[in-house]
Amino acid sequence: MDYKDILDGISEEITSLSPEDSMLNLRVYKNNIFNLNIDLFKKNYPAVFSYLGERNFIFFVRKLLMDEGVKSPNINVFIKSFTMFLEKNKGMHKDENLLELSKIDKLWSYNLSEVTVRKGMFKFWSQLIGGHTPVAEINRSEVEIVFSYEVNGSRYLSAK
Amino acid sequence: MQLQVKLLEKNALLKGSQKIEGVGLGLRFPHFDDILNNKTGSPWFEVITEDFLEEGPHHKKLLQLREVAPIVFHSIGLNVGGVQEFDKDYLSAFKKLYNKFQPQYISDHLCWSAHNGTYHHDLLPVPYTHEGLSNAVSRVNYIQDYFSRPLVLENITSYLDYKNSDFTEIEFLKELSKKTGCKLLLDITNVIINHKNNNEPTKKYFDDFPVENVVYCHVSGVKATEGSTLIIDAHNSAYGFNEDVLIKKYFKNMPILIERDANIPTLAELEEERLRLKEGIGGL
Ligand SMILES: [Fe+2]
Repeated sequence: MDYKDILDGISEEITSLSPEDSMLNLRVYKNNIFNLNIDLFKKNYPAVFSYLGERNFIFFVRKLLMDEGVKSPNINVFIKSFTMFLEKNKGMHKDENLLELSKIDKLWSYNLSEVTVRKGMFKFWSQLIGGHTPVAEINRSEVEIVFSYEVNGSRYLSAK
Repeated sequence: MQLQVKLLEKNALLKGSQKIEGVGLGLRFPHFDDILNNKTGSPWFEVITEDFLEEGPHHKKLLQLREVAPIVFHSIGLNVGGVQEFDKDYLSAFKKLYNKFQPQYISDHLCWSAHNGTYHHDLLPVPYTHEGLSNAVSRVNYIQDYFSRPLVLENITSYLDYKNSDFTEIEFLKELSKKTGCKLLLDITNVIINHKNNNEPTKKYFDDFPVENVVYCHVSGVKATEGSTLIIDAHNSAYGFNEDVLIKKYFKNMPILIERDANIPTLAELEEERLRLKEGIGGL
């Protein structure tokens, strides 16, 4: 077996992310990869995590990993693609809140400048981040722009 | 930005241009402000290159840090042992960072981490065969030509047992550094983990390791795997395998880095661990 064949076999196996049927030692790598992704997504999409809960959150991250795979040495490129993935899969989850929360999370985590969402979403996001049950009303016909700004070296978000 | 670069150049003559020595810490974002406020005596820092691929306020902070302390870049994406083409965008972003922050070393692992276009973002062991060696030699040479400087390669933990190896890990590393001039980063804890997982003593490994090619060492904490006896290089706790005794015996005066990537404690706790190690190896 040549060098590339060895890498082919291992790569294919660990990408499958099904720990049950694999050798114990490959399971170490599968778990590492899976846990790394879950941790990074949790860190960068805190409101989505709090909105979905652990189980559903893992479902979406796993689906993204299986459907798209990580195609960049910069893992942030993959993590940022979550919003696009949720947009693409709107037919499946049918949840506009989920998509817009992910946009605000991404704005916050990746120092982006602004995103447009339905009016009330920023409050909804803030309540989730603050650990409260979100009660903000979402206005379906109006929009707001959530933007980031800096004061004395600290970053804040606001909506207009 | 021009002003910052000028400042860096001016101050580079001062502390930031000193060579790394003593016991340093890995730079982790939750500690950034405390580090800039002098809440650690760490004389140098290891920076994860991938943490800086995105522009942001952390770039400004790293420039600030560079004025007062030497740094090294530690990467996980070069895929030295892989066979797919290098990602040109990644290399060019890496080089820009290199020029901007001027680390003393650039390091990665002797491993493969991407294959057929998929990036695993984990460190997979290289089969120690003649083919593996010539592949690694040509890729290390390519990277060294690209950066016009030696690459530093780290030994990893391995949970795979390849059949039909032509070399031991040490033989492979020795050949690779002889053929390319690359330097080595010895992760002492990784050596201990690999040997414990295989029920073997570490003495021969450390006796035979080409210490003359080592530019710095890593130590870190480990975790046990659920439902098995395997130890994992989790970097989630303080070092705990008497690494200080080994450093004293084999790597005296070598710069040492405490790695912590998970379950990150306060900087004050890490500083305590740093001082404990410093004392254990004789107060470098
Ligand atoms: Fe290490």
